[in-house]
Amino acid sequence: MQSNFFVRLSSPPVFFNASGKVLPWLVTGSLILGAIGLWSALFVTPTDAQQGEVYRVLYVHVPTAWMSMLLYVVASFYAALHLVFRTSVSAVMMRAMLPTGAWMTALALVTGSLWGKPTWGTYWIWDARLTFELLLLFIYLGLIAVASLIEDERKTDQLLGVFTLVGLVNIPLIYFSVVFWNTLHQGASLSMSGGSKMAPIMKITLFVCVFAMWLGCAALAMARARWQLLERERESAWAGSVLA
Amino acid sequence: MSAEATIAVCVLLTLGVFALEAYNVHRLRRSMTQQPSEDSDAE
Repeated sequence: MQSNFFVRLSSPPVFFNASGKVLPWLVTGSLILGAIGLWSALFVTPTDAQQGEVYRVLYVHVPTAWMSMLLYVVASFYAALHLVFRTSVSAVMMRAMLPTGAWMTALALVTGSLWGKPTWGTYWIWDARLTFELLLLFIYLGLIAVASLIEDERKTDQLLGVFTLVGLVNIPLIYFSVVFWNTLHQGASLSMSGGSKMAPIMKITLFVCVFAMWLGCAALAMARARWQLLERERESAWAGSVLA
Repeated sequence: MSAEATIAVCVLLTLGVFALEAYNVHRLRRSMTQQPSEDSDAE
């Protein structure tokens, strides 16, 4: 039953219609949670005892940094799917993650840098995590360049899929860099094992901000994939009926 | 830069990026829905 659902979802018209129904929910959820998260981050959470007010940058920086990695992992998942099944939906989903992922990486670097100046005393340092995150931005930009090499996107899908999977090696390096090396960047803000020292209200607010950004990124990537799919399938009967 | 200014810049940058991305997707949608009529005009 479930596998049938996923097989059906790889059909372009089914994906186009299903994503059209999901999108308004993603956008609405993102806007509501984003507003709640921002309000709580700015007005409800207490001032940090050590960092003062500037720690509030964390509510923007951590979600963008997580999204920069998550979007790459999702793009790699679709790249692998595309290399195996060669469906249009997997190709457009892989491509749709890249611009949003690049923006999230740039935001993580800029917000981290703005937070670093008052906290570390410098905007930038060649610390392992910062360097691998910068490398992620270059990987995203390289993939976007490959994606737009040839006007007929179908000809670069395979190449893009392989390059995306090669770049995946950078994600564990970013995530575990604070464990592998002695870095200036602190360890994980939140941990699954419950080792976080954050106050509950701070933790809840951070999760709300992360979830809002996750919904927002999913909405952007899905909307982009929808229209790219329509462009790709322009000659087909279903696309013709949508555009009519 | 004061802490308040730093926070404001970070929040505005993030909101700006989301707005820009939404505009880019909107432009893609508009180009898709307008192109057929432009093609037929050219013919």
